[in-house]
Amino acid sequence: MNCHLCGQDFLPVWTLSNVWTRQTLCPTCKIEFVKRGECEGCEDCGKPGPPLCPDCQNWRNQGRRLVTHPLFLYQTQAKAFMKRYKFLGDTALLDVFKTELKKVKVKQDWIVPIPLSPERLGERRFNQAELIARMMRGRVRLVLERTDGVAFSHQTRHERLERDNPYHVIQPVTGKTILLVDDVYTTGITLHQAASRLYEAGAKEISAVTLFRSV
Amino acid sequence: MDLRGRLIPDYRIDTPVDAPLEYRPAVTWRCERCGKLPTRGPCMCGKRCYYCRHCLIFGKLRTCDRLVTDPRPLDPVRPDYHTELNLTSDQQWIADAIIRTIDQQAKLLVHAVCGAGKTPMLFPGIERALCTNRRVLITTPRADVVRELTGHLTQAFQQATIVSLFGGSAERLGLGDITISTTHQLIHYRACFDVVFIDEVDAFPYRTDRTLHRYVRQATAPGASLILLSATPSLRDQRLPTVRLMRRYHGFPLPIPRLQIPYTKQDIVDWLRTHATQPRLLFVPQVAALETWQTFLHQQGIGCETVHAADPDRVTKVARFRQTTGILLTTTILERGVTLAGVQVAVLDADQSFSSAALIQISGRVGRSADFPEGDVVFFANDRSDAMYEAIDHIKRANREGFR
Ligand SMILES: [Zn+2]
Ligand SMILES: [Zn+2]
Repeated sequence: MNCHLCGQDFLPVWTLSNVWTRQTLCPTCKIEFVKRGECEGCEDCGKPGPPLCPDCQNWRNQGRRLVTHPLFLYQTQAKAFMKRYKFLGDTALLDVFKTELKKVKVKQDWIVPIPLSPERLGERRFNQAELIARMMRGRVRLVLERTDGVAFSHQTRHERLERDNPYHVIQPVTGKTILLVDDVYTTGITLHQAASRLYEAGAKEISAVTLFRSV
Repeated sequence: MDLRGRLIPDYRIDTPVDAPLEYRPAVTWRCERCGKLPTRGPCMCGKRCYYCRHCLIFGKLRTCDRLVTDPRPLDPVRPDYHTELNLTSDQQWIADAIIRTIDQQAKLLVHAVCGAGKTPMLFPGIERALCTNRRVLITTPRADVVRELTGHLTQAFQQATIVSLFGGSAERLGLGDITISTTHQLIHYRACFDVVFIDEVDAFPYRTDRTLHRYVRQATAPGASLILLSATPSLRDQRLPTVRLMRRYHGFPLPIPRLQIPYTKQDIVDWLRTHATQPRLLFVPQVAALETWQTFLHQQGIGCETVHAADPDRVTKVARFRQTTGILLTTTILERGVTLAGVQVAVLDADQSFSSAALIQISGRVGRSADFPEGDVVFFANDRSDAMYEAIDHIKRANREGFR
């Protein structure tokens, strides 16, 4: 059997606990995905380092706290994975994270993946965040929509958040608790933009899960 | 967008086509484009559907996609004549054999040594094909060879439209009277070439990858003639009707490699110094060895450059090397398709991971031009390997046959 990521031949190891799972990656590739420890790093975004990173401190000062749980760290192997998964559309690779994603405890009413703009969706023909969301145990609702406006690069961070927010809520979300899902947490702006639109529309409580956290 | 003779996914159509198009499912029990078995994966259509992992690079194909083609016949080929050639009697004999094969719509293997002048031997055959309204394809696993052949053919055929296809070339999905392509790019073509030349049939990855054979088979029209060219054909290819040319076009014998077992690093330095006035190629077995040799030679006060398959500046570095008398350290990627006047070749650690075909090709780099018909080939090794002796044996036998 050939590894889906490095192409090398390997012998799958079958045990009682994994009889029904599909083994697509060789053990060496699998090991290279670094799992983020549960209570490690920043308590808001999971960044390795102090218990509260400067970025999240900044968000808290603005009164926009958003607790995000990344599952893995975005390192070399994860980058190779994203390149194949996102840009080539090799969706079978996602099965590697199936057990991890099923383990995520979803207490929220709805799972909401971050949408793509229609142009990007037409070009890529799938939404990488939506497929991740559909793998989790919970009710997936596509309540957000993205329309890209003109980008103004000379604005401050706060202005950009408000004016260039490309997300819109297209279904009533009043009183719901929501779990946002994205593929990689880099600056967090995407998730915060989506969260602020959802709060405006009356959502009660929002947190987020991402597959990777860039380091 | 002209889709005749091509088969592409429907989402790739960018300009409207005013013709009745023919659609077919992209993935059935197998991928309809590359023929491999599909994989099940999560999909936007809600359920898990099948898609092909083997040809993902050319765009993803899913069960919910369609392939599209234009069933109308292709435009007729414009006849064209090649410019003046002076072939030796041996070359003329091969060229006649190729013309005969094209007339009979048969198959032929041309087994000619490195430096026999294979490219000009094809021109009479191509001329015959164009004049009898047949579309010509010249395909090879190597993009470097495609670039080099395109240069030769545009000079020889002035009227015909010549399209060259390789990964990253501008003429995507083009189709000319003469098409020069890497084997990978043929995945988009269906039954449109009537005369197919495959150059360097035994080169990696065509030698081992059976899907590439399928791409070529799918691109050839029924009743097409197939001409394989190689200096080191595999036994499988040698079952075809074969013509052999064991003499170089300038009439000099192939240089026979010298062996140096064992060797020290000082021997390499001495060898480099004795040939200081000529360009020198050093072949190493792995990419990792390039670095160690480069630093060692720098310590000895000898400057050199390196190239390997993943090198982004590969084309410019080789072009620069052509004009100088420097030193180039390389992996086996330069074993084929490069012609450098007066080059001297050394293979370092020749006992490691070089196949006999690779060693024959490497030895064939030397003495290709009529001005410098001789040169030095040395295999430096610390151990004996079958491949080295096989290669030397093969070269000696070719010389015996060519000068009987
Ligand atoms: Zn395929
Ligand atoms: Zn589908």
